Formats: sequence, C-alpha cells, structure tokens
Amino acid sequence: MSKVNLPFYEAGADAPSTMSLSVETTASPTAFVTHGFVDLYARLCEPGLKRRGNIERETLLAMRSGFAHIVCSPDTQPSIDSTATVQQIKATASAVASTQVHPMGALTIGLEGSKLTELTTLHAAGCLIFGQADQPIADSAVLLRAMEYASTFHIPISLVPIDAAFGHTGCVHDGPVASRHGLPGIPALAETAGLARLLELANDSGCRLHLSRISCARSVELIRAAKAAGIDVTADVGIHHLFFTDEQINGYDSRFHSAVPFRSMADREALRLGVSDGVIDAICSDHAPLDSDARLAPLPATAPGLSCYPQFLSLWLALPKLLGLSVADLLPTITTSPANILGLDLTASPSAKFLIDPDAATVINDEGHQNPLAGINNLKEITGEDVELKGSATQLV
Amino acid sequence: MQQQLAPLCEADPGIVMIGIKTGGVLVGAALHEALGLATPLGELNISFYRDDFSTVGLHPVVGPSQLTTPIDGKHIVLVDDVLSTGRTVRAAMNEIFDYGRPSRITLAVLVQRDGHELPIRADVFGESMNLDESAHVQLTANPWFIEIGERA
Amino acid sequence: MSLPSPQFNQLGTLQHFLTLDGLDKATLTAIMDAAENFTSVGDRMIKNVPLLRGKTVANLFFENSTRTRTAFELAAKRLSADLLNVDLVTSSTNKGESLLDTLRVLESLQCDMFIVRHGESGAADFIARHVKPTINVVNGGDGQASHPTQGMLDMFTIRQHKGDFEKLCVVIIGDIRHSRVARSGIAALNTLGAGEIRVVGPRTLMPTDVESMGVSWYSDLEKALHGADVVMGLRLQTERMSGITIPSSREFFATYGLTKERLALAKPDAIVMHPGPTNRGVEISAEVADGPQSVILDQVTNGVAIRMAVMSIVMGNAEPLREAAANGVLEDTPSNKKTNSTPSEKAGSPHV
Repeated sequence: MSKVNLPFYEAGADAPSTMSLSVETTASPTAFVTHGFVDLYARLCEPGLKRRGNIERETLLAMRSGFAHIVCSPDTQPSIDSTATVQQIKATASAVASTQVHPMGALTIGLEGSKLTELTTLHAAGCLIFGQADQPIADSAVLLRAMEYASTFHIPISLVPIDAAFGHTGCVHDGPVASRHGLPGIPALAETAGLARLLELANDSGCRLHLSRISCARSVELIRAAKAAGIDVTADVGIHHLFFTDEQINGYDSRFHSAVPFRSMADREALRLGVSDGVIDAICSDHAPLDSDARLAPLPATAPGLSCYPQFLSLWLALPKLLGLSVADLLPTITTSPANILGLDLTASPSAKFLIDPDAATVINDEGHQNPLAGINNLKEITGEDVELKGSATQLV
Repeated sequence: MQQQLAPLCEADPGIVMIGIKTGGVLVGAALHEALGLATPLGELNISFYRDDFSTVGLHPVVGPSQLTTPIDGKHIVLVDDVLSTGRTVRAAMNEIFDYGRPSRITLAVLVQRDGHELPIRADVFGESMNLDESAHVQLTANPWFIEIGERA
Repeated sequence: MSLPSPQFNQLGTLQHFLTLDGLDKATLTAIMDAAENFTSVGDRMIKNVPLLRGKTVANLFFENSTRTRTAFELAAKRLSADLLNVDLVTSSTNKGESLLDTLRVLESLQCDMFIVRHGESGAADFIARHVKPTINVVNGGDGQASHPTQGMLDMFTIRQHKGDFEKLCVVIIGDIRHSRVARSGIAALNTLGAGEIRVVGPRTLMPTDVESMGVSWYSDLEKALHGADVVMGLRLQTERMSGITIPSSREFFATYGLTKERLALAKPDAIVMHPGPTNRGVEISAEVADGPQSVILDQVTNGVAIRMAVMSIVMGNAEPLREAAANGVLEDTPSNKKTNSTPSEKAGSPHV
C-alpha cells in the first residue's frame, strides 16, 4: 500500500480537487478519480433474452469499465411496461453490484407504438426516462400524445431518431459499401427525417426530449440548430460510432452489424466534432451482448448489436487525444451530462467513485460474444486509425 | 516420317491426321502439308483428359480441340512431338473416342524416348533417344530444333 | 483492414467463386480462356469429359431458379461429376443454424462442391467461411450482392463478339439497385478495363452513390444508347416493384424499354444481351430480343462453358488440400479464422 495524491474531478466543481488515496499498486501519473460513469443506453437482455446476456454479467462488465449508473433498454421480454418488470430488474441488479441499473420504461405497451404505458406509476417505481428501444412510433398522433403526457409530469423521454418505415428494411448504412455489396441500406435520411419530426413534435408538446444514438452529420446540424432555437433537447452518441464507419462492413463482416448503422467517414468526423463542441451532450455504450449463434447467418439475417462494456473505457480514454481536449473537458459526456438528463445528482446520491488509470495495460476479453475488439489492443487493424486500447477502472470503497 | 506415312495415306484417301496440342500440332501441320492430305488437320487439347488433375488441377489454356471431320470408321494418324510415358497419348485416345469410333489409329511422333509407363509405342517416329530420367525434351519450330535440358 | 476475402485458400489459389469484386484481370481472363476450351465439348457427339469424375457436386438452391440450376447441372454432368440436387425452400425459419446444419450434413455426405443460390446478400461469403477447407463453394447468386458466373458468361459473350474491352461502351438498362447480375457485370467490366459503362434507369432503380461503382448514370435511354457497343437489359423483378420504384411496367417500357427504334441509336454492330428470362414488352421488345443483334441465346450456351471452367478451376485448386486432408495433415477446421485466408500474391497470376 502506498499513498498517492490524485486529481478528483467532482461534478459541478470548476477545478479538480486533490484526493489522497492508498493504492495497492502504483498508479500512472495520468491517473485520476471521478464519479462513476452514467450510461444512457445498454441492453441487459433480462428478462427474456438471457441466452444473449444477463443483468449480472453485463452489470459487472459495466462496473469494471467505470460505470455507476446504467439505463437498461426496455426491449426485454416482456418489455419494461409494468412495475413488476421494473422491480424484478432492480432487485436482480442490486444483488450484483453497486452499479445502479435504471430501467428505461417503455413509452408504449409492448413497445407496439399504440397505447401509452402508465408513465407516472412506472416513474415512481424507478423509471427515470422512457423510450421505445429500436422500435419507433410510426403514428405521429400517438407520439404527440405520448410527448404531451410525459411533459405534463416533466418526465424525459429518450428516442432513437429513425423513421419507422424507412429505417427497418436495411442492415447497413446506405452508401458506397452497401451499394457495392448489394446490402439493403438504411439511408441517413431515415434518421434525419425521423429526427426533424421528433424536434417538431417536441417543440410543440414541450416535452423534454433526449435523442438517443444519433449517427449522421446532418443530425448534428439539426440538433445544433434546434438548441440554438431554444428547443429543450439533448443528444447522445454510441461510443462505437465515434470510431467505426461503414467500411468495417467490407467482406460482409457481420460483427459490425449495428441497429444504428456505422455511417460514412464524414459522419464519424461530424459526430466527433459534435462531441467536442457540446452539441452532443453524452456518450453511451449502446452495449448489446450477443450469443455465439447470433451471427451464424448471412449478414442481413444476423441479429444487430455490438458488445461494448469490455472496451468502453479504453475507447473513451482515447477520445481526449483524438479530439484535442482534456479528460476534464470530456468527463461530463459520461458523468454530469447524462446524469442531468436522467435527473440524477451525482454529488448527492450515494454514487460510487472510481480510480481511472488511463495507461494501465488491459486485455479486452469477451470471447463468445461476437465482439470484434476481443483480444485486440489497437484499433489500427480494424479502422487503420492508431488508437491504443488501454486503461483500467477501480471502484473506491 | 513422311516416307513412312506416305504409303498409308495413299492407301486411304479418307485418312485423318490429328495433332496433340501444342507440339503435336506443329509436327502434324508440317506432315499434313508435306503429305498433301485432303482432310483438314485435327487439333486435340487433352487438358480435360489428363490423369494428373488431382495433383496439378486444371492445366493452362492451349485453345479448344478442333475436329471438324467425322472420324467414325476412319483411319487416324495421331501426331505428337515427344512420346515418353504414354500418358498424353492415352488421354488423346480417350478424347478421340468421345468424338467417334475410328477404324484404326496410327501413332506418329518426332521423338520416341524412354520412360514408358503405359504399353504405348509409336508406329512411326523420327528419332529414338535414351535419356536420363531428369532430361526434358522441348521442341521449337521455325527453325525446327530439339532442345534437351534438365527437367525443372 | 476489412475481413480478408474467403475466396482464396491457404495456398493462395482460388478456392471459392463468390464474387467478381476483387478478382484481377488475369484471373477473369484465365476463366474465359478455359471456358473457350470447354465450348467445343458441347459440339461433340459425346458431350462430357472425365475431368471431375468421382467428384460430388451439390446444388444448394435456397431460392428457386430453373435456369441457373439447369446450367450448373449440365456443366457438372459434362464434367462427369456426380450431381446432387438438394431441395431447400426458403422460409424465415430456414436461416441461421439450420443453414449451417444443412452444410454439415452435406459435408458428412462427402460432397466436394456446393453450388449455392440464396436470397440474402452475402450468403455465399458466409457459407464459404463456414465450410471445411476441402470444400469448394460456387455462388449461384446471393441476394442482391453477386452472381459471378452470370457476370463471367456475360463477359465471355462480349469478348466473343467484340474482343478487346478497352474500346467498348457498355450500356446497362434497368433495375441496377436490386440486381446481382448488374453488380457482378459492373465489377468485371471495370476490372477488364471497359472503356465506358453507362447505367440507365430512373433514380429509384439506381443504388446510392451509383457513380462510386465506376459507372455513369443516364436517366435518358436514348442519350445513353448513343455510341453503344453492348446493350444489356436486366430482368425487372415485377414482384419487387409494387408501384414504389416504378409506377408500372407499361410506363417503364415507354421510357426505358429497348425497342428497335431506340436500338438504332447504338452502333450498327451493337449486341443486345439479357440474363433472361426476358419480360417482353417490359424491358425489351420481342423484335429486339429475337432480332439479329441479340446474343441472348449465346449467353445461355456460354453459361454452361463458363460454369464448367469455374467448377474445374476451383475444384482443381482444392485437390492438394483434399489430398492433405486424406493424409491427415490438414487441420479440419472451417477457414473462417482471420489469420489463414490472406490472399497471396500468387492469386494474381494467370494460373488460377
């Protein structure tokens, strides 16, 4: 045991304070202490999809990546549209780790997009935010009523901006790679048209709208304009979307089949810029564990999704250098910003703190879960970009 | 060779000469002209009949077989440059029988060397050589030249 | 950076025939040269050669196709292979594991080659990555991705009639977006250095960023036909249209149908091609389809020779692996490992 003094980036503080810690091994000079991270979107696959993943495994993986709070997606079986399911998830999670699981409530019953769930009841049971997972509400009248009802009770909703009819026929970004491979594409327009509609409805309803997992350059522009116009909107991006593009699909590589597709290089650059200048408020994991059979089919027939928790921390730690920012500049994207969206107060709640060591060697171990980064220590062999994967998180007791 | 073949050709004006690609076609063309045969020279590409597919795969391309004259009941003079193992001639005869049923086949080669692996001998040959097993006989035309080198 | 192509085996030779995208000019030329040799076989009294005697070829058609299936069947039989027609009806449940189960069963029946036709793009690639290293996979058309034997028979037919590709202006009309035939044709034409490739149709039938495929897009058929050496029609998948991509087949024929009058705008010796079956009065008039410039029936004949060439080339390339496996020196694992499928330099040599 040795004593070290490390910077502590406290929520709301202008400058880091110093925290004195006893550590078992020597931490590198870049190490720091932070509130545990807040993830706005992850699939824990429980109840109902346990052959892909489960609350215990995913939560422990999240904790090892530095997360103290996880919002789990409502597309479980059954979907999170009853207090029983909310309580079941919370009870299972609390037995596992200190990382808190916040079930995202389904906005409509069974995510079917036709009947509203009991928003206030579910809110009281612990659903901080409501959404539709990857199933957009096609009927604008239903969506408007849902937003109006949620805004009545100041309940935030989180929606992935995708046009219902448009976005569900493809499996990859509609661009040159899709054209060459003859793969059915999801056009950027499916997202931007869906997003423009959401912004109009949010503006009219006064709903607190969070845009989940955006992927296009044009979306960043639309959000920038909406924010400038005073619409109460926030947005996040999945961390993989800040690194991968549709090029990764080359050779029908179904490991990169994502529900929100990886788009062009220009889109990726715009997303990075959006994170840098704060148009994109938060970065989420979009964690989607898969079983080993999920990819045993031709690409369009495979289940979409990438496991993320094993590499989230390493990817995030690579961002300051790539964006020319400091760790302190970027920490809000995974701490205070998502916490504010959820209405969590990191300083008040008994939220865990973590010692993050950006230079600690790490091995991404995720065998059997179709994770394209398993066993890799640099993104170079995947994207060509020199991004070393390292870093560790240790929870402080 | 021309002298040996001439009586056969005179005896049967319907005689058909077939060269095995590519060396046999060169020799065949020279003989065909010298003998003044009435029927056109046939060309056989025996790639599809070789017995070494399982070790070397499909052989490089030398152009399709061309046998325009019907060969049923005909006397055939099969021409190749070098006869060694006999496997090429075996393949060529198999292919000929897929075109029809000749009454007789006469084998004419420029060089008959040792190394026979099948019971096939030339009826007519220009040269006979006993060579080292590693030796490789290569024919070039214009000017005619037989080159004996080491097998690669 | 992207997943290495599974087409090449550990010896660096062409093991599977999945897509023309990524094959070099020498390889495409070698296939056409081999096909040329096979053309004479069909003219003989006895139409088969003993090349693939004792080999078992399985036709795995997850999607119906009488023409392609028949052409492969005939090619296999002319090569003296034993042919197994496996009936596989495509259904939503017949995916994923059951697809692999089917493959395992046929592997256990000691098949040497799978001819695969499947409705999903990338299915042939997927299957090639999951079969034993001794098995050859030939793509008989997968989804909207690739139909490489059709692409090669089209190139072979063009070469027969027109020779050098560099001087040619090729016009492809119709549903490029959904067409695996167009994708394979465009890839091969680019590799073979075709002078100009024009695609014609309304924007609804064009893939996104169609120019990135190395073609120029024309919305006006008459302009596109000017100076054309080769005019290729594509089958309009009327079942796919449903009033969204084109209002009606009648309107399509009015704007993009290949008629005698329009064909007159192309070079006088231009050839007319179509992968068949033609929708007469939709893509092409009967007069043109049966006219003197039509080489549609040559395409059918050439289809057998091309498939004989492809089957014997890849089958021959895998022979050393089969021998190694028989001697127990070949690891019997699927070749989907990232490490062992790097195409070698040799892949570019004419000895495919």
